[in-house]
Amino acid sequence: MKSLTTWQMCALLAISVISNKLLMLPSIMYEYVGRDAIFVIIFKFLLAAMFIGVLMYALTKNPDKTLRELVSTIIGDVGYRILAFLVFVVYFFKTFLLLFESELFLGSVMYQDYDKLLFLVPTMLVAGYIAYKGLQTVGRTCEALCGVIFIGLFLTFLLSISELDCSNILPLGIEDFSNYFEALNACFLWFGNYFLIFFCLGDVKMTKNLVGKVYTVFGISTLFVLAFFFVFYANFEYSSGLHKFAISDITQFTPEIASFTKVDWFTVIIWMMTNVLQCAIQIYIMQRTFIETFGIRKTQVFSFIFLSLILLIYLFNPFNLSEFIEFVTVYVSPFVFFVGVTLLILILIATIMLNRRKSKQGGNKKCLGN
Amino acid sequence: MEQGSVEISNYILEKLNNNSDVVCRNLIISGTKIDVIYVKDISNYEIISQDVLLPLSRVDKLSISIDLDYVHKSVLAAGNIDVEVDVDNAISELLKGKTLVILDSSKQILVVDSTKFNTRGIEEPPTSAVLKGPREGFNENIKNNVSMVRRRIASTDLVMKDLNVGKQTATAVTVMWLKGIADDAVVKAILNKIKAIDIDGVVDSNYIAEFLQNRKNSIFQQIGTSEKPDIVTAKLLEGRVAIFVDGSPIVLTLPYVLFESFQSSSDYYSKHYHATLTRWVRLIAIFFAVILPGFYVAVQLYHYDIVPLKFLVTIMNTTSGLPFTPLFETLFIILLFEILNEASVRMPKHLGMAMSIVGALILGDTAVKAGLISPPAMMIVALSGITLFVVSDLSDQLSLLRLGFTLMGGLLGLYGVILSGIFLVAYLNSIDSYGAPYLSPLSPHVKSDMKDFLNMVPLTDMKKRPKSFKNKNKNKTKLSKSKEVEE
Repeated sequence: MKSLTTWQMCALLAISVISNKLLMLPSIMYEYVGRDAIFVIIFKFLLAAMFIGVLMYALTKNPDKTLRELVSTIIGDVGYRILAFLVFVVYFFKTFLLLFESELFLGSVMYQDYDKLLFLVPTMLVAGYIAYKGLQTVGRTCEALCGVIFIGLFLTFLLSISELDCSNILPLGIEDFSNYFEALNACFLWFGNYFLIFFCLGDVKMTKNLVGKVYTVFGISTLFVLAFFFVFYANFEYSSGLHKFAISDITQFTPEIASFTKVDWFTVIIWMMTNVLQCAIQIYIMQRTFIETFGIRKTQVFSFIFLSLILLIYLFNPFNLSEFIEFVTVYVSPFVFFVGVTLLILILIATIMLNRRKSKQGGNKKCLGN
Repeated sequence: MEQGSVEISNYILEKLNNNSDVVCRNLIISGTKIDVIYVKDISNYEIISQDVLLPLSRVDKLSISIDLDYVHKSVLAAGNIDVEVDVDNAISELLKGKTLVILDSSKQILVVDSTKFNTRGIEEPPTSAVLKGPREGFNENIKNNVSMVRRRIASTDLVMKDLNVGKQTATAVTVMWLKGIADDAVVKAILNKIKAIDIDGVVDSNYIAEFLQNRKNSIFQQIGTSEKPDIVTAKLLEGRVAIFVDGSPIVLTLPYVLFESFQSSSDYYSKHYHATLTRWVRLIAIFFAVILPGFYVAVQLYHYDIVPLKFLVTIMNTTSGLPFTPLFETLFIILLFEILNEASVRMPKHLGMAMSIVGALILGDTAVKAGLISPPAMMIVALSGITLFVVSDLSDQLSLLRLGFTLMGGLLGLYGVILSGIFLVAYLNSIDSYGAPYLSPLSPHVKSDMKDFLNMVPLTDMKKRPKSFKNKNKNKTKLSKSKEVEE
């Protein structure tokens, strides 16, 4: 039985698109490429839209084939296992980034006295529980909370629009072209969340206009992120790089809201939901790829050990966020790109091959019928 | 048993320990020995004398030879008579209030339905009172309960299956569904589960419910309950299965989705605008009940800058000098509230008023004046306590959740409250009740069922049966196939 409905996949995609882009990414990108970060983001999203197109093609042509089945037809099961492990590594870094960001945000903005462990253990337990329950629970939870999250974020957006000065964002396109590539390379881990669609393959109930719905949701989420960047840069102008936590700063430094009340806190809290859900999605993918690589049976004990290990590695890792970003930029970004593109090419080839096989079989049957 | 009426009667009486409430009338009618056995406190004397003893005495005057078949078909006047071969089965029927007629010339036993139990009248159930709409409620008699639903559904598609559960109690259980509407697989699964129940006795329908739910340790009920025949009828018409248990006024319905608890029968007897408003009010009440104390604790401990300054000053003035931390203070008031609640339920009615005055007014007021608790905390917990009962079906669960949220608010602040909320949604999403996702039609989103979700449309626009759970014949106005064929 298929685990996900179309809307659940759309909700997963929407949360993935917005989750980690509204906190530190705006200021980090500003440091690389200034306000032209908007162009970099547009380019990233166009790339993502193209990749999603390939995935949708695979999904609609072979709705019952999972990622493993598709990739195995080209490179065999051992080849798939190697690729699955590489995906695990990619998500390992992505999860670290998410935890780094959330931890910094909670410690700096939300709490005065902050205990790292007291934050991490419950977060991992909740995210781990959702992941352990499987794709269906992940999808349903995202679907149930997606509406609340979007309303909350939209409210934040509306509240911050009052101070908007569009002239601050202009002129665009003044940065050096090499900075664009640098920004592209540095922010790799924040993007590519459409990867999760790989793991939805074969598990989505096909409905009418599936591709249209997916692209509509992706388009709306993308526009939201772009609009957020636009408002952020327009509000803070040259000081954009100093505002590390965009989602809270965008409303905190808006006098109109500050004089009203601290209502922006509620939207910030709602935004925290996306991070927990994104964490659950990533742990699910990590767990699944790990299981598929090593052929382990999924049990409660395994999931618990798996979570504990990730938590321990995170707690004792020697990096701080800037060191981590540097490490990721140099060593991980090319690797992420390689894994993503390889998977896509393999899926595309597998889909075309399977289609040809199908049409050949169909042709043979017709001949026999005649 | 190769014996005559005397041996059978003796066997029965011995099996029943020659109890004083078991009556055995030995008759000789037209030369044939006939024993009439019944349990006097649970049998209807009128039926026994008018439909059994009197017709038998008339036969005696005709002086003809009689056998069991003749007595069954031509003598006894009772409406419901069965022929039983197994003596032990006959004994269990006897213990349900039926009368046994044993002829010396036959190995079979006639079982005459003469059941009579003293039961509570048909009253409006206190948990589902309505301003407008039917006020009938179920009582403890399964026959009454089944008849109340049967009266409302005059359809040949209504199917009932009688079962007995409990080795000692042999409690009557009736499973009811509408053929052509309820899903066959669901009906089969329920029947199989009930048949497989291994228990010594069933005292209430909750005993059956415990066996039917998939997650035994969940705090959430996975089975619908109702005390009103109009609600059960509506649920049957949607394609659900109803389970009646003798001795219980609570009828179980399956499959169950959480949102059923938000719906009240009165929603369907008033304008849909009003129903929509009240449903939103219920949802908000649930949020208040569960989240408010945790939120208050979190704000007090970690995020007081959220509170507008003037209000913060008021709170600070009232909370300064308190001996407890906000978390302990709130937990203490919740504990106090739970004790008062438990006491008021158990206490005789005429003491209830005094109890509420002592508890709510004097105790609360004195505690505030003594500087043990603060007025804002008292107000928050009181509001949460009241809103717990807005959706009475869920009050037990909400009460536990409130504790959890308060603890998380105290430990992790608002992030803890949010984490608890996400965990709760995920947990609810992982529950299924006989193929029905627990949070449906919210997730998975079922567009057509949204017509009867928080925003309710007029009844005339609800033309489809719910798609949140498996059922057949989705169109409400279309008769099931079997009926169409007959017509």
